[in-house]
Amino acid sequence: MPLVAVDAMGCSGDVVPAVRGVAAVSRATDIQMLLVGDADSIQRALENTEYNPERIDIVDAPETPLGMSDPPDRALARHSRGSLATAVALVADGTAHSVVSAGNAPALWRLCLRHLQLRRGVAQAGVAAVYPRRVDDRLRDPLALILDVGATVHCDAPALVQFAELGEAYVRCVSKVERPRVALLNMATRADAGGEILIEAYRRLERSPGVEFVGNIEGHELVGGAADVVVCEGFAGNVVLKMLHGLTSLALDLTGAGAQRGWRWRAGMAMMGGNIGPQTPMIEYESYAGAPILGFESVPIYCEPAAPAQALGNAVKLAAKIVRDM
Amino acid sequence: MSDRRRVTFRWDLDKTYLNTEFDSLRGLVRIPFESAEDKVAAPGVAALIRGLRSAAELRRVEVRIRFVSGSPPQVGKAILGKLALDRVVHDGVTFKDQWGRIRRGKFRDLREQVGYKLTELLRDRRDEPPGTEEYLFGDDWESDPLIYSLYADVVSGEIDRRELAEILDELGVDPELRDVADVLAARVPKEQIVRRVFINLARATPPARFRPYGERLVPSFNYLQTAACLFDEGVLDEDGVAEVVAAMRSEGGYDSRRLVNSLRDIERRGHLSEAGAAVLVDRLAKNAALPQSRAGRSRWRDGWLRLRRRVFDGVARVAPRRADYLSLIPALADRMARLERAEEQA
Repeated sequence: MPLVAVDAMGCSGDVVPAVRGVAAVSRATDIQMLLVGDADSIQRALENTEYNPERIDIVDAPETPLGMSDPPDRALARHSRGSLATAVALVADGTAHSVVSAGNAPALWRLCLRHLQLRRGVAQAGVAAVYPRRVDDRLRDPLALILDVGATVHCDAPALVQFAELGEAYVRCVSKVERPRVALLNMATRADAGGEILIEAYRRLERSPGVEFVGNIEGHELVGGAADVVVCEGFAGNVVLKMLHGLTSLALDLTGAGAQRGWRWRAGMAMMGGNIGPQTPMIEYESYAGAPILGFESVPIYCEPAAPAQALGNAVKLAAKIVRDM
Repeated sequence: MSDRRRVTFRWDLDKTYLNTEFDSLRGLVRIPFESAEDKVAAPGVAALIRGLRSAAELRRVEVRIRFVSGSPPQVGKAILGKLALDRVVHDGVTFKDQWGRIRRGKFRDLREQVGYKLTELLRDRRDEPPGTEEYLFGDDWESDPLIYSLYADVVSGEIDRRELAEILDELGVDPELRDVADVLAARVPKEQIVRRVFINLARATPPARFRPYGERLVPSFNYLQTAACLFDEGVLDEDGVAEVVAAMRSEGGYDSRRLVNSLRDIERRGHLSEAGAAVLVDRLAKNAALPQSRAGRSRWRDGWLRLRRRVFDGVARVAPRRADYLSLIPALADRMARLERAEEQA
């Protein structure tokens, strides 16, 4: 049975979203969870929620959590018994199979590097994220994977090949795509585009036997559905991902503003509502599970600092699915 | 009359002993046609009741096990058959005479539980020898927490007849039943005899919602939690708890982690004493009912015990000794209305 450690404190110290997310999962699945944080606050939040105690235990780590702006190295030295460090330590000592955190991202990354074992043959771990894409076939996963989105800033060609292999294995095992198509994010589709590192990565990926490489992909093709896995260095991946988030929220804002301006727009929206409604979860990034950190023996999941209960619950389910499937 | 200690355990049936499915129309329709074999008991409950009786008999305690059900006598045969199949020896089951209510045109009373159960409990109490201790077992499906707490406060004299009438009027209890309750309340000797009220969280109601009822009421998620508290109270022995654990493993597919988590939860919530939990976990480990590794103190356990002291010395102890029933009624009425709507939709 998968056992997932959940950093309940995040960056703010507010345990309610994590407790609610975990409580919802405890009622719906057989996943075992450890809520790590200030046990007093967790217990109080839990008792005000519908939960199944058979699936939940609490690990006391009452130190004030690291904020988003705390420099991770110095802060980690002072916070060795904080919720984030304790949750990662539970995975490192084999007590838990995976960890979910909405805490300080650089600190989580450093803790993973310090305490978790890299998989055999892996030299560079990467942070992955999913984004919605167009699919013609209903049976295909409507989400594609992009990595790296934050573990590196710039990296070399072997690291990009490694990301391709990690992403391919993840999509094959977790999304159940038999032969995932892997693309390299570039500024043109030509093989000689993008500079030395990307040209070298292209060459290596073409020869990589385990990877179904479909070539370079440009920014505007990301949502087109041509690739199941998009590989890039962390700087580019992070910019792309956040831009997708921004565009989605801009589209939603424009729709809302239009509806406020005129009755025709409102009437049109009302008529389309039935069709738009089911698609909404696809564009609401808040409900996504979080970003799996690939390359370690276990797969930690990182969530946005303000992740709501639903996102944290989905992250726990994803962590458990990875434990079961990978 | 003997000077032996006397204990009565009063049980509700549906959603407490039996996992009755009346949350769907299909389940409701099926109930009258179910045989004893079709009925499913909550994991560990039958083992718990057997354990309570055998622990009492070993200690030469006079024990009575009574059931009060809101079901009509027409389903009695199947229920009595189920109790026999589960080897539960009892001292009687009271059913609700729904047909009599229909004949008298009391259609509102068909769904009404407070007046019915309270009068039955008081009637039964009247016949008990003075000093008989009571443990009550119900669920969070309808109004057991309120009925049992009200009963406990009436028999202890915390609530007088005027207050009782006011509460029953506010609850909309049939005036005829209210008058019966008044007469019975006047006749029962006033004693602090209800030790604990256990509420099976069949709906997983958040436990904090029961704080207004005070420490006497224990919301419990499964029968290991209930058994642990009864062990702590001295009315169930370790063999009895081990039997409950074994039954939960075989009937409910419980594994060690689920069981240990349950124990930790009931201790964190302050219903199981620190000493009781330690003794119980150690003995269960010796019995091989729970794993040894979980029995010893771990680095978590220290934090867990610290938490218990902090939370329960701070939160549960300030809970009022006696519930403010009149303030609880609007919430209860709202809950019942929502339940009725949900049932109608089903």
